Amino acid sequence: MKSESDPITNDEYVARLIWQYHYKRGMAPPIIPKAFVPKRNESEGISVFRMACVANPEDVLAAIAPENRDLYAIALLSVADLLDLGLSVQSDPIPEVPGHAVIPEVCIENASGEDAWLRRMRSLASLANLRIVREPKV
Amino acid sequence: MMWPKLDADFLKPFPKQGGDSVLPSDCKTEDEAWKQCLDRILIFRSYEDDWDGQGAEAIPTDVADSAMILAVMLRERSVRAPSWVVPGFGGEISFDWHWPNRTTLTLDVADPYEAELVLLPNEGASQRWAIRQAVAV
Repeated sequence: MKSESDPITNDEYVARLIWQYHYKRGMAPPIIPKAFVPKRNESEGISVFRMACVANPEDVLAAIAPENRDLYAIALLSVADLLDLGLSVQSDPIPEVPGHAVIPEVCIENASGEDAWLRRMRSLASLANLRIVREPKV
Repeated sequence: MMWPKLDADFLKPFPKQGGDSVLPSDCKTEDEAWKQCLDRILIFRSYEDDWDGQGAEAIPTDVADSAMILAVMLRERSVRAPSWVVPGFGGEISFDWHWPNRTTLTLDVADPYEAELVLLPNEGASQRWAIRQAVAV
């Protein structure tokens, strides 16, 4: 496993937590673009977690209150694919779980209804749909 | 406050009942899909701040109520049930119609009796419409 202080490399994967209503069980593909829309407090970028810093993907659920953990799916995004989309991944340590990072270009300040933004959300959903490692447990 | 009349230009991009947009996978009929949509809005209406455990904002009741009324109006005008309805992290409610060719039609209600509609094809530019609350005179 890598330390949080180790540089993020192109061969890494990051996990995105997908809220239950953004995961359409039975639909192909299940993850919808809104899963990547930043919240109002995500001024630094949307949250992801470096898989290189944890033993297994479900470890990142430690960032969520226990009563909410079953409500999330987990999908992986390749750092190389994110770079191809013109996005970056920056380390942003939090105490709850190692490996927290953000995608700074996908932040509330950049959020708009413009076509480029909407297509970016769609591209992120497409990437996530390639590597779903956990469905919501509800 | 109330919604304005839904004119033909605004209704044009919506799929009609019996159309080919995707229905929720757990609904066998359009009636069932519309019922699920309305039931979900009622659930979202009860959401308080931090409903997702990651800082999402509560859905204001007047936003939820106006979204509910708009959904009923669309149903009454023979619009096909949406593929999904979801709460937004910023307190909005969004209806999406999705087609197998990746075209999406998104109806966002972020303020009471105000909505924006975006038709985003798989390729090419989007088309947009907006409706605002009617002014009582």
